[in-house]
Amino acid sequence: MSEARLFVTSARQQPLNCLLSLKVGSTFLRNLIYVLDNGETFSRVEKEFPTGLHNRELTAAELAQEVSFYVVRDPVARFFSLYFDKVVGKQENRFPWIIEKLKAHRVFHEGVDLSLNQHRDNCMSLLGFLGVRLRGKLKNPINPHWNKQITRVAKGIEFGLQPLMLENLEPQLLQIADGRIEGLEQAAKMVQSRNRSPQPPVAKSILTREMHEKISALYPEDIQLYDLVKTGWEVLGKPPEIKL
Amino acid sequence: MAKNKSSNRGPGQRQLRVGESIRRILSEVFARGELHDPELAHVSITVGEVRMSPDLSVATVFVLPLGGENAEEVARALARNKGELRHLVTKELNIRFSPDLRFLPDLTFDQMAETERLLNLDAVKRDLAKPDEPE
Repeated sequence: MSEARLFVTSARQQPLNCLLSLKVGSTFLRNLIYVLDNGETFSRVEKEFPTGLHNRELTAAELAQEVSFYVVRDPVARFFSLYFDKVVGKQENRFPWIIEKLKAHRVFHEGVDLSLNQHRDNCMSLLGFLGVRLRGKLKNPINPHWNKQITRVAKGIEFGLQPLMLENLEPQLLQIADGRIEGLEQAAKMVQSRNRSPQPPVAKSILTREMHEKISALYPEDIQLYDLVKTGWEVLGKPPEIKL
Repeated sequence: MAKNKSSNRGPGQRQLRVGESIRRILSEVFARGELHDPELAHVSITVGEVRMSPDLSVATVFVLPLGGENAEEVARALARNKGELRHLVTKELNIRFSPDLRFLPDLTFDQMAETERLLNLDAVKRDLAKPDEPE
């Protein structure tokens, strides 16, 4: 029987492998890998990465020899990223079909200058929308933009990948790389300037206790996973061993 | 994270403070892997909440293994190790008393029942009527 392998995204000439999850720094990481491979940032005009992504299937032993990791994000921050990017974000990034669903079946306020309460209404609508989909009641597979992080990284945990946190991604990545990835720090700086879409300051004010409880109820395992990785880094100063 | 019912009056500030300190200490003990029970060797444990009795003599610790499976077994395994855990907590907490630790499964996953309830709402039924479109 052949040895189990994990499908990862890798740099072409450097020993770097990651398990990408949408809304968890995946654009930053893809850009970073592009810079490592090509020495320059890719052109937004082309939209697609000219050379595509380099994917490999590696064994646990092969992954352990290289810089191999996955990233976790605070589920609350990830939810707001979805809301501000795909629901009320720039026109070209939005998912219009979600807005249509929210308008038709729930509540949705539109406009460029929404009040806190209007944002809260929209967020609670979106959480109801996500609740239905996360329960797997639809025929479609769960969209990776809101799929649970744990379902994506479970294999990474099994294969012993190192867990990093999105909010400290660059220093943590540099730490685990330990000089093995040539030009990593410079590449991260190049990507940083062109790939940040910070949430508006209003995001923190929108969150209510009810909303937080709803997010926790929809993503309990992700709350746990994030807590374990965060505590582990704080206590150990290095990636903790996560067991599932 | 725990959603268990509390007594009529809410906990006092000292109860909350000591409970949170114990929650943090136990989370750090688990992160460092300081327990050597083979039943706990292959599990990552989160501490959702620690609830103190009014006289601070008992700490009820709500725990959950990552993913939520085998929570009862993990709580029992922790109870077997409560002497060592109590020692570690008392040392870190730097207090004169030594609270008894009682471990229970965290009931966070029960919150999913609320989502289930949502499925019965008319809006949700209509929402389900048509499939999602690809983005």
